[in-house]
Amino acid sequence: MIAGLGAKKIFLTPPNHLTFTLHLNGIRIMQEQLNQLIQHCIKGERHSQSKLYALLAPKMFAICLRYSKNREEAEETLQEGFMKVFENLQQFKFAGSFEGWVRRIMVNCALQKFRGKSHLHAVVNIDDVKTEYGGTENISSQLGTKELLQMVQMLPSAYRMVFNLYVFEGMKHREIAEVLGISEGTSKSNLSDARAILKKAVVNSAQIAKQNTN
Amino acid sequence: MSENLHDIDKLFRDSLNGHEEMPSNKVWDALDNNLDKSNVIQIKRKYNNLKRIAVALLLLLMGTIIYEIQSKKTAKEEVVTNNGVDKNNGNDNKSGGGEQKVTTDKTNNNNGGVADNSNGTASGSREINSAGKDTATNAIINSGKETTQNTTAPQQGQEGNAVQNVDQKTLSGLKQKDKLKVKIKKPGVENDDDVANENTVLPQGNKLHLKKSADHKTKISIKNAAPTEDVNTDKNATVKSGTNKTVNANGDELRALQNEAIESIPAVLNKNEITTINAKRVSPDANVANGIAKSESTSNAKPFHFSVMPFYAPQFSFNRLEDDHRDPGPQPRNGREQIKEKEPHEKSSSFGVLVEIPVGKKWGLQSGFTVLNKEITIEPKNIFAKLDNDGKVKYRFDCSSGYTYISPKAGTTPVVGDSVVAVASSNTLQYVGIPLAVNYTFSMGKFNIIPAVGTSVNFLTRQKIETELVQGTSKEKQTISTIEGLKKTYFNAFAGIALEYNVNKRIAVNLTPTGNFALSSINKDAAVKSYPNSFGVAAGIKIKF
Repeated sequence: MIAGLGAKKIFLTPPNHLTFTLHLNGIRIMQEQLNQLIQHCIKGERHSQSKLYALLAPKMFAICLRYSKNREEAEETLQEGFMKVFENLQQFKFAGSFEGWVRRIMVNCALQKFRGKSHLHAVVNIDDVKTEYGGTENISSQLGTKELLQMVQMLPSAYRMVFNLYVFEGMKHREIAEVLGISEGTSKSNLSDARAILKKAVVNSAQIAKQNTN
Repeated sequence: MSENLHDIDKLFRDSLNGHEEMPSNKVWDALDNNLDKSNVIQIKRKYNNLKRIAVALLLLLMGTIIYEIQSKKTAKEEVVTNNGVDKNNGNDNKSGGGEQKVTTDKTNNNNGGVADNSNGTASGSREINSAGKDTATNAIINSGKETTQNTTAPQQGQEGNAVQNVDQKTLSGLKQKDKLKVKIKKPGVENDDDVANENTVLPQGNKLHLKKSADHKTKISIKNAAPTEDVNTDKNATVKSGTNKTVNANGDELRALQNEAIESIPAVLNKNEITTINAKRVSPDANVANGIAKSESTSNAKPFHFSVMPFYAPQFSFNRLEDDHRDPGPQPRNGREQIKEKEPHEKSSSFGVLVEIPVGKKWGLQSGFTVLNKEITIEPKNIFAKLDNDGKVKYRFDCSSGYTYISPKAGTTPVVGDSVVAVASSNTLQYVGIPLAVNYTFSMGKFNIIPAVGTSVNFLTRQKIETELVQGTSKEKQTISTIEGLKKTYFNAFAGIALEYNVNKRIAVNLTPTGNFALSSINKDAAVKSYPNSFGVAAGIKIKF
């Protein structure tokens, strides 16, 4: 349910043209200014394009990192995504969240990249995964964002895709199955495996962190 | 455990959702380079429509040029022929003969048993000795039998003494062969041979044929030494004189002479005939003009002025699908493949009217209008609820033509991700096209083989998606008349080879296998880009005018 709401947040953010404010890369920009910037980018003004890139790149790069196994792959996805953004900017109807629109493009690029590759299905022995996991409060304080990101990146690509689409994009298994061309059951199974792997990784990391502090 | 699972999701979501990280500078550098390349491509795309228009104009221009060249060629041929006559005139005039000849035939007219110059008058070039004194009146009379008459009469005070002889033998000979030659002599001429005015009448038809054929010779000579007066139906006829002066002669005076000459023709022609002849008298110029016109039409060998062909063409059609990368929405895996798989059957046919204008002997330009009807059957499939362009959650129906959002009237409002089964769906499109083609005709007896190539601009006139939504036990039929992403126009090229059987001069039966290839997609911003191609056989009846 939380995931579903998340999906709405990603894809369907309702805009309020007059008061909507973007916080991008620590820069506060009014919707009206953003619209002007987009208009300049549509005209092909390189300066505006670079400005828009600077505004959105950090956030989008974080998304790309989640869908990629390493930084290089994420940068490739980001580059392709921004190319599509600039090429199709005139298609943006100013009727929704611009950030959401760009984000969708990035996700699509990542999915395209995933589809374009032949994937070896990871064999995970779930019995090996021991969960001694109680809560998130302590762990989140012990683990940094980068560590968590690395854990996601370590997941087999199919698991990573399902986990990202489910947890961050808020898609249902039916939609994930449709988007990835897999069965609903596979989607559920992949998500379950991904969670198990991540849990184990989180616990291990937390233990190491605890030992280090001791 | 379940709680824990949610916790792990939350842990990652909370930690990574707001995460930001700056990529390396090389990403922007690469982007910068790619944007430069992209700009070039965009500029190219920007002028695509202009290019298409330019191609159409080029085709039109080519057609016009071919037509003009053919027309001028024909006109030139005529001018060359007539120039020969003028030169003769000039020469004669220079020699003081003052003779004007209008000759459109270089062959001897002693053909087909025509008793030309039975009195020993030379039929070829002649010496004219009546310089300075004679006025030649040349009247070409067009009767039902085509009669041409020359009248030579004295100019100054000699009208009354004009002796007009009709060569009876010639006339009878002509009559037998449906030809008539009338020769009128005048006093003061040294001998008969010197009387050079003659006309050969054509054996058939009602008009004077100025053709390079032995059987079809017409020669009009006007002999005078003084400024020439030409009998014309116009009151004032303008004829070039020997000194290249243009003289306006009083037609009435000359007409009187002509009438006199006609009346003097003995019983060879009865009175009625003469009256008819007189009534249908045509000026030489007019006759020559007619002749040229006729000659032009025959020498150009234009089979017809234009033709109209209604046709009907059942077609075998298929869409070439491309992924539309512009559509930013998350697409199902292999969207193109899936749509292709779900739309295996496509029925299409076209009908219309084509107008062909021949350009020269073999070439032709074709245009008109066509109406193309397409019906694509879509196999049952699941459609999912998504946000539409207005922010409402509806079921999105994707097909090769575009997409539409469907909101079921019954049942609960869908949420994103819900699905229904769309069964018995179909997509109907109608286009009106304006083609422009160039064709070339190979004639083989009654058959013609006509390869043609051209382009067409097609305007969308009707669009429809019909589907039946099945949700649980309820069924609901939906008809949508607006398909998102569908363009109003698209261009296509076509090539075909027509097999034509000429039933008679006017009507031909035409069978044309034609291939149509889309130059532009019919849609944009949809799941896929569709390029409709087809192969069909058009059957039509060509009516030539």
